[in-house]
Amino acid sequence: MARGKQHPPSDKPEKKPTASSSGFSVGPFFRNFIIIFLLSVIFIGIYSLNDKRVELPDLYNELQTLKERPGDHDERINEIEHRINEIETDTSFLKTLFVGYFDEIHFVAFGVQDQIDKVTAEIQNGSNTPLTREDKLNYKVHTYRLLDFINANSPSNAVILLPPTDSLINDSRWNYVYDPGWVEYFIYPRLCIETGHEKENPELARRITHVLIVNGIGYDKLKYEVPLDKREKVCLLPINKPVDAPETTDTTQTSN
Amino acid sequence: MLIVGIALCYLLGCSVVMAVSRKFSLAEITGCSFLIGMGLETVFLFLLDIVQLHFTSFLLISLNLVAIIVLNRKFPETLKVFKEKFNDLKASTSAINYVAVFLFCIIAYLFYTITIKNLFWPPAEGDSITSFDKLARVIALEGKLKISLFQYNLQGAAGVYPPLFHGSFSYVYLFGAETPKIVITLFFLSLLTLFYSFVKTYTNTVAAMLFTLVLMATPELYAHAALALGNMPTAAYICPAVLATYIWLDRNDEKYFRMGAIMMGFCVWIRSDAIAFVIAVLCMILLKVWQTKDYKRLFIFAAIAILPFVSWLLYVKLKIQLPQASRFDLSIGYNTYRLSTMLNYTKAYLFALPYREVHGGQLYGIVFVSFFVALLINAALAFKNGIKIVFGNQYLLLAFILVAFGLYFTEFYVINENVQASTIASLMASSFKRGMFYFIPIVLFYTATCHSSKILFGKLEKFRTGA
Repeated sequence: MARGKQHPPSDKPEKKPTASSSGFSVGPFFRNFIIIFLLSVIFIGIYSLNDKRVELPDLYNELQTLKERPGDHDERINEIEHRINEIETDTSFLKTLFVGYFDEIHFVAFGVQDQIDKVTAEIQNGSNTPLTREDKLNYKVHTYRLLDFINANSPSNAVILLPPTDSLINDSRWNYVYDPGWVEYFIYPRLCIETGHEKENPELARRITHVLIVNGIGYDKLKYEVPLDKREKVCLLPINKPVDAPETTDTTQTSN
Repeated sequence: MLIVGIALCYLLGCSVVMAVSRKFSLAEITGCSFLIGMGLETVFLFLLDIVQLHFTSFLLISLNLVAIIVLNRKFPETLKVFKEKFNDLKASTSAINYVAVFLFCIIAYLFYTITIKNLFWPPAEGDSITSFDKLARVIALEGKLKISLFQYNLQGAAGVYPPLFHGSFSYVYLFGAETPKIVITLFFLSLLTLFYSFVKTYTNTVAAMLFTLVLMATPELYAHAALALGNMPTAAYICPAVLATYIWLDRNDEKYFRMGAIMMGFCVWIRSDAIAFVIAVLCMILLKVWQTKDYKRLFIFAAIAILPFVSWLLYVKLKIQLPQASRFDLSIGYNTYRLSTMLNYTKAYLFALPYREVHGGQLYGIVFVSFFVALLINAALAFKNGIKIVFGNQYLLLAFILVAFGLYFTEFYVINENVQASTIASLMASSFKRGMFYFIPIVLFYTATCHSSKILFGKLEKFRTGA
């Protein structure tokens, strides 16, 4: 720096080809370029350390498809599992130090727009209507339709009795529809309470207006009988027998 | 309407920053404006709740305008200062730093892509659905902090958290936002801007830009820039709180004392358990004032930093009146299983190792490893050149890291598994893991500004400029 101050570039005849009339000098530009080049090499090197992981999403997708499809695919399944194992267990210290960066660059930075386009096309299903928050929640939360169904089929002051946790906890299809803290987010201003926790919240338990039946569980909580042949697997029923309902049935509100 | 809300938030924060000092850099003003502005918006919500006034966007606009006008009594002077700052910026960027521009382009691209992802998806994370976003939506709808859900214990775990994070969501909902995640992007932007400007205070632009890139690209932190969870925003407050306090202690620059104290106050206004960081910062200040005997500063700092914590504690006790068991079990004593589980997870996080379902390297990349490498190199240099030359005042920063991590670790050691409804292993793999964010900017700041890095980046800069 000090040397630069003592000898401005214009005073240095030996450096005359490096300076232009606008003050732009080739020397510093070239030096900057060298550093940029070296940084690029380092970044690309880090990226390519884990580049086998590019294959992973396709391999996992194929594996899932083969497992769901009937027929004998054992040979291909073994082949895929072997390849996945090979990639996932390639865990030298250097590679694992940078694997997170690879995933974020490849799958998020480079892949996010494609993923969004893919999801958008999937949700829109041919139409061009802009996506709403509800559309996206429906895509992300697989029980969203059921929760939306509760809103559509109960008044805003309803109190819903949810199925007990232990009846559904091992069935991921119904994840969290037993958790009042989770369900409340989707059904507010309606309230909810979990079966088996009525004593902890007696005031709310007294106000129960509807029972959410999931996997056929919850019919015993109704204050009236529903014939076995009329029982839906998943539905929302009023806890008290509706005044205008037929003698022994209540099949009015069901969800798929 | 949302733009009005965000603009007011920035204007309010900017007015406070300029009232604190006119000497902050443009990057510091930009970063602090949102953090202080949003912090104050939630203080407004809190005060309106106390006086039982229903929150509305109109009421918030009025409050903001009054506050901005009061804070900008010397507006022409402020304008002049800004003009000077922009002129300085123009002058300083006349010679293009191509390396910095290259790194900035990568940062900008990564920021753009994560923002696209963040703004596309509505909040759908478990904690957000059961707590943060639920609270935020209902607060905006009911117009008060003590919402009806408290009556039925449906508020979720964050119901007793101070209101800064979910209150910031409520604020944007009140201004008509469909999803609140724009706030996450702005917290992330503030974190990066402030980190850059603090590192730049001690080193050159290339180093500051490179370490900002390393901070941003930390895999787990980057992922959280697209999630509606509170850990990254908490890190956004802890970073300026700790680093501004450190710069004040190191350079005796008054403006950083004020910035540090205000930001520390907001740390406990976003998460009560950040009190561990307040204690660690107070220890750091104590180490310094022990020599200068300026205890008055320590008390002023402590008062500003602890006031929000006490206010919220009183509010929870007197207004929310939620019966809750203590989160901590102080009678735990020595528990071998718990300690070894915690140590194994901690080792995995700090030394980039695998343990059970987590892998430190995959989560934090080179952050902690580079910190330890830098520490070892500096220790070796200290043998040769002397401790004072190599470490200088950075012993304060290292003391902070040690105390804060010790307290953070202890917090989890005494946590009550029954109250949390979670095992210690699961807490270590989730909450503790996310809490490591609070240390990332601090350890990276040390790595970027330590003696060995200064030598390395000094040489690089000499080569770059040909000086």
